Amino acid sequence: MNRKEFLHKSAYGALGAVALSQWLWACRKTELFEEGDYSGKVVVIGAGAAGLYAAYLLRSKGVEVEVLEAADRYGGRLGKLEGFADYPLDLGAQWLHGKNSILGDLIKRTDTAISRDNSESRFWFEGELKRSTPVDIADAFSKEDLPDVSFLDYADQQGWGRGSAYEYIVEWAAGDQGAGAEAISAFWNIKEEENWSSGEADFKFEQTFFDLFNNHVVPTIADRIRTNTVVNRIDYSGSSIVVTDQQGQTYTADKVIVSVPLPILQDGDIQFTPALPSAKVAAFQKLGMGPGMKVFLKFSEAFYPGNIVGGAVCAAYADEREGKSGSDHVLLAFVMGTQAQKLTDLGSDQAIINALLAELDDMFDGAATAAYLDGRVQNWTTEPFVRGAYSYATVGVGESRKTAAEPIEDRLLFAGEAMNLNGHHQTVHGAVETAIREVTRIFESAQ
Amino acid sequence: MKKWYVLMACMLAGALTGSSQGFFVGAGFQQHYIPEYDKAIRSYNSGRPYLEEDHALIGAATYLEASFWGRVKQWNSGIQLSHSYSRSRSESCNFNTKLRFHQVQLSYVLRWLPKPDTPGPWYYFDLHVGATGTELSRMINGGSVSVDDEPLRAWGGGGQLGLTFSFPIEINKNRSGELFAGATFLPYFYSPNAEPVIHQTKGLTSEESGHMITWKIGIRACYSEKRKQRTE
Ligand SMILES: Cc1cc2nc3c(=O)[nH]c(=O)nc-3n(C[C@H](O)[C@H](O)[C@H](O)COP(=O)(O)OP(=O)(O)OC[C@H]3O[C@@H](n4cnc5c(N)ncnc54)[C@H](O)[C@@H]3O)c2cc1C
Repeated sequence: MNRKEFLHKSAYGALGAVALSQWLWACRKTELFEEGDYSGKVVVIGAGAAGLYAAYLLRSKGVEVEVLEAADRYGGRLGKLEGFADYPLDLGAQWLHGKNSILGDLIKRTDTAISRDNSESRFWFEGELKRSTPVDIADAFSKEDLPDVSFLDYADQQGWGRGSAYEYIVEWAAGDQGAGAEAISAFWNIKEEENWSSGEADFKFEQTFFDLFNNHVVPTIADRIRTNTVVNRIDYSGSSIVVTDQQGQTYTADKVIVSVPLPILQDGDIQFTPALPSAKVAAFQKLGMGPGMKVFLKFSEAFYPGNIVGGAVCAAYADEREGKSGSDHVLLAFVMGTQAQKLTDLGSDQAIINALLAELDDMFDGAATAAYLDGRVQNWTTEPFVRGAYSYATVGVGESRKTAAEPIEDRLLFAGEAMNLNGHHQTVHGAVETAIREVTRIFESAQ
Repeated sequence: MKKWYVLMACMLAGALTGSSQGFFVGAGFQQHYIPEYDKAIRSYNSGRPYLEEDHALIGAATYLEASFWGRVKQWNSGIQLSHSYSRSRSESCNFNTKLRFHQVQLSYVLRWLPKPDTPGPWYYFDLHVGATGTELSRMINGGSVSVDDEPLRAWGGGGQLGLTFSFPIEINKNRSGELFAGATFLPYFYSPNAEPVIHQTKGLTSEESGHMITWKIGIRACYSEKRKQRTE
């Protein structure tokens, strides 16, 4: 072969190699799991964001799935309140915490109307409403070098704790994480959010968060959801897993995804056979999930300047009209942790509403009671199948979340907001991420 | 991206006026294999049944390179700068997304040459040692994605080793061409923000680092003073 021939052949060879490489490339799988990759049956326990999305993914790949839900409705900590105001309200989750999340694309794809929450906050500080405080408490608890002590202990050390003018602003910072200031760890709270990637801006739905799921996730799986089905036993000692509900009905599956809220696991509502590893049970206990409620107060006029931070009864009030198309004035009392427990202990919804009105009257010279029209309490602490707001990092929590989320034998799987290891626990998109993670695990186990 | 073209243009100008032994410019086709990106894209596709079309994996790229060569005895050595651009699209109703991947490689290249009086070889081996920098970004419905008003980007980088075969084609005494084919390997490719760009999450299915393999094929034009000297 002379040089010319060699070059010719090389050129043809090269073109052939390009064509072959393109063809081989086009044959590569573009999905992590595809229809037909898994042929077993899956039972999902809990029809909250995680359970619904897991079932939706499984169904989209043709997997036989059944969702068992204890309550008489699906959605879990997503819920919709209609008729209270001239716009719908969220009973549970309402803000999309950052648009760069797994739900961001669904929102865009479905043209769901959301808007950035630009509402301003005023701080109740030294008996006055102020635009800012000398110490920026939210910023102080966002630092990375904080000690593993509670927010309250750290605040005490810094002089902004118990008895100071900042006491309930610290409570607000903790409440934002679903916790009382005495319970949440300053160090682990930040450490666990290390991987937060969805963005800092909050967005509100013109309709509700619940509608996003109801309209776009539920339709393909509606016939697979069994409500009023309280699971109380999971036997995974045999080759199939047997799930039993309170009525004694059994469901057999190859894989089970448990997506119930943390307190259900902490309180031992579900009996596992064989018992779960003690490290896992200890990890459930180590994680925190405190009391939480939302109280909607409807007024004839907006006497409040937007959001209010730092009340002794409720550390976070939010203007519900923000982002909604409607004219009713609804102020949300977002009560968490110790404050939520104190209000729960009052014993009735009316007593809770009265306590909040008294606080607002104190701030606004009686304007709250004068303008009050209606109130509605959604107490998540007393919801029998939720029992709290969302999970948080307690002092000394360490890697408990990881241990809690570990699968057992790759067939008893744990999903839900509290099992999120990507820094997105406490959120709806975080719950959805755990669904993707566990469904991926199911498919991977079949390969 | 524009700045890389400007840089290459400067190199070209430098080569034409400088005292280097040779200057090569090339273009071709490059293929990437980045397992961590693949994993994130696959997870993206599987996790979003509501999208009609899957995102393709990042693969085929257009490739441009420029290099200067100097000669020391039997060795040619030079600096090579290259740029490749690849994209992956997914078009769904209401929702078109595009991932854009730029890679810039800067390497030191070593080529062994035969003695001046021996007939030119049919091919050369070039050994490359250098570094890669990458940028991955996402567009949705024609607009760049930003988070909290900051453009969402994933920078990446790592050290690389490469081997290229070049097949010379004579044009005239100091101009020639080369067909080339080669591969590069980045044992450690660090790209910590890629999963948030691709999959809008972090640490769910892929890691912050992995490896990258690229292979390329193309043609380059060579301007070489060496050839002038040979005939003088
Ligand atoms: C007041 C409040 C405000 C919030 N605000 C936001 C927000 O603005 N943005 C945000 O992203 N997130 C917010 N969250 C958090 C968010 O709601 C949750 O992270 C998410 O909805 C949790 O989804 P999940 O599927 O993990 O759990 P859940 O939604 O709690 O679903 C678990 C399901 O399991 C069921 N279940 C329990 N026990 C059993 C049993 N034995 N058998 C069968 N089923 C059982 C429950 O009934 C429930 O339906 C808020 C939460 C609360 C409470």
